[in-house]
Amino acid sequence: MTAAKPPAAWHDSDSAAEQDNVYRTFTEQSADGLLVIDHHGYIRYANPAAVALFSPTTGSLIDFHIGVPSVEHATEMQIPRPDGIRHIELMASEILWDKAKATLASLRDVTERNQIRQELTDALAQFRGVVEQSVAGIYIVQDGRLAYINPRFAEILGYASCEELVGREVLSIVAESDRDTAGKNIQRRISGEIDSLAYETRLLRKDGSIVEVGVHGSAAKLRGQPAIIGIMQDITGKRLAERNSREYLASIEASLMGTVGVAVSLSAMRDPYTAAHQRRVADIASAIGAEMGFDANRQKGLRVAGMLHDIGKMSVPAEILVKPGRLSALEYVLVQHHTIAGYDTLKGVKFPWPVAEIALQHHERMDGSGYPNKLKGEEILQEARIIAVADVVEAMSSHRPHRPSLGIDAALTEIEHGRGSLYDPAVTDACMRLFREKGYVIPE
Amino acid sequence: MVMENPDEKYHLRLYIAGMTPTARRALSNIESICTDHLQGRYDIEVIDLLEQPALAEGDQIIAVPTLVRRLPPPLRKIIGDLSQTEKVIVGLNLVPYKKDP
Repeated sequence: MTAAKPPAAWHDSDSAAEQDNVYRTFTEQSADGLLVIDHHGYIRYANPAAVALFSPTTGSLIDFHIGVPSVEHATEMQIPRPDGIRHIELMASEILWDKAKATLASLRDVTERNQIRQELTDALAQFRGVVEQSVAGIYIVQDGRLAYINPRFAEILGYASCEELVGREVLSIVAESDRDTAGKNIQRRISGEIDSLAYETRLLRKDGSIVEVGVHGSAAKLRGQPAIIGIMQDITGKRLAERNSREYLASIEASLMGTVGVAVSLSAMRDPYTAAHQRRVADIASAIGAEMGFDANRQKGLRVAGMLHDIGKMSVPAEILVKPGRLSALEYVLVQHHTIAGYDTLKGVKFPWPVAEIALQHHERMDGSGYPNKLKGEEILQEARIIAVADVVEAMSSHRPHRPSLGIDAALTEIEHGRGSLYDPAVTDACMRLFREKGYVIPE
Repeated sequence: MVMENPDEKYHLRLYIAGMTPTARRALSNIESICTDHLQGRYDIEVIDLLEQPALAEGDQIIAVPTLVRRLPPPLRKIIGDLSQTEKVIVGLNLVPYKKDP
């Protein structure tokens, strides 16, 4: 074999034979295929790597008519083989071979590289598809500017194209009131203090209007430099719906409480004692509820139930209710019926609390000695057990048509005496703490 | 340009394996060269080995793109994207091959 013309640096080698040996070793051990092709397109030399590339298709490559290479730069070609197509990069340079012009063709197998590149391209295309079509805005911030945004991001801010926003300072699209916070939030992630952050902020749309958004961005690297990659969602509609919902609930609650107030006022016209009693029971019951750790909503339920628990007394003849002295057995049965009458009156009202059931059960006792259904212990609603205690405390400590006030001490003694048998121990204890330790006083 | 027989018709075959970027360049380059040098006295047949793999054997094609001059004889071959116009012209014998000095 005659080697291609060696580079100048090798001219200093001791002898032509040594140089020849060096080149032979290079070519024989090269991972790239090397072919010498004469000017008619016939292969005059093939190194082992080239033989390996073509061997599944051809026998010996020497004198094979492959064709004259015509490429200016490294050019991708294909070798169709029975085991599939191999992709090679072909580079060609002119040399002298046996004193005639020839081409040295170097062939680099790039099949695996192409495969990886294709997989990467496919994955990127899929990723880009997901990002571009995302219903959430997606953005990359670097050096304080928007380095990338997806179409949805532009759409949320009222821009027709992403190009209008890319390159803009990110803080210029943040509402002035939120700019400091947003700047600090960005800095915390860029500096590496935190990895990611989710927060709500207000951005400026193209027309200057405000859009409320939720953003979740994470620290990342883009071309080796710190960046933030995040998603952004328009929450203006959500916020508006929440506000409307809160206002609606507040108006419903106001209507409900107003209606309760009307009912109490009506009963007060007929029976002022009962109306005042209910108001005070409501206060005591909600205070006991608070003492027992009830949340604001359950306390409110106790207040409403307290204000209505004796509404059934509207069915009891007024002369019995205001009658001084002891009641006859029949009169007592009529008075007892007020729990059922109250339940019947309230059961059709859709309160967010079991107000009708509380009215029905507020004369039940823990040992089953109460009325109307002789329920015991846990069978009685906890709220009803609280109203029961508040009812007794208020009734005994107030002036009644048939007797003067027995005083708060007598009332508390009665409750304490009935702890566990008549009254729920936890409710009793809370009531005692309230009056004896916390200085609770029944309002006038 | 020197042509031995100005009426001679050229039948060229371009072997490819799918319309890859290299194949596209090769086709574009040979069409341009033929337009400039053969003025309608040629036809180019494109053989896609992905569709007709058996045809590779007849012309002994081991790498694609390969351009084969089937007519006039003798058969000549050029491989690559045919971007070196001079090589293509010489390879197809559109001008006589100059002996080395």
